[in-house]
Amino acid sequence: MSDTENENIEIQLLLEAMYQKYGYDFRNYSRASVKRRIRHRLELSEFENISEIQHKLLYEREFFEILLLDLSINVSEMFRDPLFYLALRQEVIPILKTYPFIKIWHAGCSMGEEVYSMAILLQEEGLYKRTQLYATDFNDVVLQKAKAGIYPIDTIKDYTLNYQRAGGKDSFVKYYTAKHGSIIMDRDLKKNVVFANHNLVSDGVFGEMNLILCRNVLIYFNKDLQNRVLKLFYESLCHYGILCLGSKESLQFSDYADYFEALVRHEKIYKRKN
Amino acid sequence: MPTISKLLSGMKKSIKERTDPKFETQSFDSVQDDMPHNDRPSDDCLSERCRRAQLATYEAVVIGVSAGGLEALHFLLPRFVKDFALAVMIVQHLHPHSDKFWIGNLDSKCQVTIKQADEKETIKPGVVYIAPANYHLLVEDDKTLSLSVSGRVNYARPSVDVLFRTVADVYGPHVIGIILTGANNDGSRGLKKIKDQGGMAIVQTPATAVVDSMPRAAIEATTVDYVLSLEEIGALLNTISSEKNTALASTSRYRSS
Repeated sequence: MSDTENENIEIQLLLEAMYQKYGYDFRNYSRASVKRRIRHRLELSEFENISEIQHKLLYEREFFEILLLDLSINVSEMFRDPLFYLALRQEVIPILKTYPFIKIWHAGCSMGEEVYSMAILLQEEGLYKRTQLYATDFNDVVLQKAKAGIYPIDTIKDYTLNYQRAGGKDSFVKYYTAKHGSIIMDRDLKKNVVFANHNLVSDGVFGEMNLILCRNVLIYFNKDLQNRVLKLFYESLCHYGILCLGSKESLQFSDYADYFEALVRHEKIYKRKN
Repeated sequence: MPTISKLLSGMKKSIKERTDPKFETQSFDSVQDDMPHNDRPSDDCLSERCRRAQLATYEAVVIGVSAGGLEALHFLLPRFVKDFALAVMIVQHLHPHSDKFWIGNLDSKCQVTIKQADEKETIKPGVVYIAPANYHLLVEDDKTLSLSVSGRVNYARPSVDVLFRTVADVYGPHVIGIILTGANNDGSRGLKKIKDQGGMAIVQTPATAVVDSMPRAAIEATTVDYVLSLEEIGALLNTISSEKNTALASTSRYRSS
């Protein structure tokens, strides 16, 4: 079993090197997932072991960018979990309508699919003009993609179906143009979106939000890190501000369970207590 | 009651025959009838004790199943005894939008608890955890569950290979990997990992599977310990569970005396 032991040590050292050299801290991420991503890189490369990866990481910045992409999971969809968006439309939008000005934070926005979904929802509900959206991620490469709003055309069938199941009021085709095997999202959708680099592990509060969406990010963190991020969300929300988590994420077992109450329990939509 | 060594050696003997597609599956009873009765030499008793002790060291069972799976699970899981001593984790390939009502339905038919896996949940013996649709299921070093939405593996999320690989890391020789009916080859690489780390590999007899490509791919990928029908898999796991319970009871007796 010494191979396994070595591997565990090597992974710990690699994460330490990444943190000390580049400031990105994956030490409190769920280890099984991190291990999988690193092994995947090892299999694709010509390296004998993870120690060799560490050497390259320390000496080549370009390789750091590759490893950072490996370690961030950027799988999403427009209107991912359509029933969540339906609940958002039915239960959360009426609350947002009571505010004169709305601030929304997409934390860990990845390539922006869910940001554009939200923008469409806000347009259809007549709220977009008085909303400021902040879309943040720790990875500049994916942030650029989010900003561009260009997606492969073969996703469109699924996205259109999701849009309809999410209670879409119009025709999804209205929100994009198809060109060269891609779809380009309507420019108007990103007019009120600020795309910015923010790392949930190390950065702090930057504004008072009415709504925070952070879906399928916390599952990759260990308990300590989850609690850190939930504290950050609590402090970033206005009184009765709303927090949306991924469908398999829950506040229930966290230190912050008592700071929030469920608004739509099965869709993981919570309201900050006063 | 057949002794455990009879049961296991009987099964082992028929592996080669069973992997041969020409061979009709033997019933459980006929396997037992092949065994000599009450005429075992004494060194066999020693090895039997060894085998029993070894069986008691298993902590977890992982099952990978695809096409034909709901039927197979409805047949297999209700067979688990009430005090089943191992934790069970299952990847059943499902449509990404599937709901979890089938899990509740299955739970109502079983003596053990069947539930959807929650992230950060501590793995407990006697509980069956099922990977949620559209999430990979992984096991952490501290024996808690974690979920991931990273890309599909073998066109699947959840993927059997992803789960099996992490349990091989965490449980080493104390895990039993099982591949049941299915139409692809997900799970073969993971089952090999389990074997490489010293765990046990069981595959459903291809002839008894609704779709046999997943069992066949698994048999091809690694040295499989047992090729069995669902009924026999249930019986074997219950036997292992009872060995574990017996061992646990004797340890606690020893401690309290």
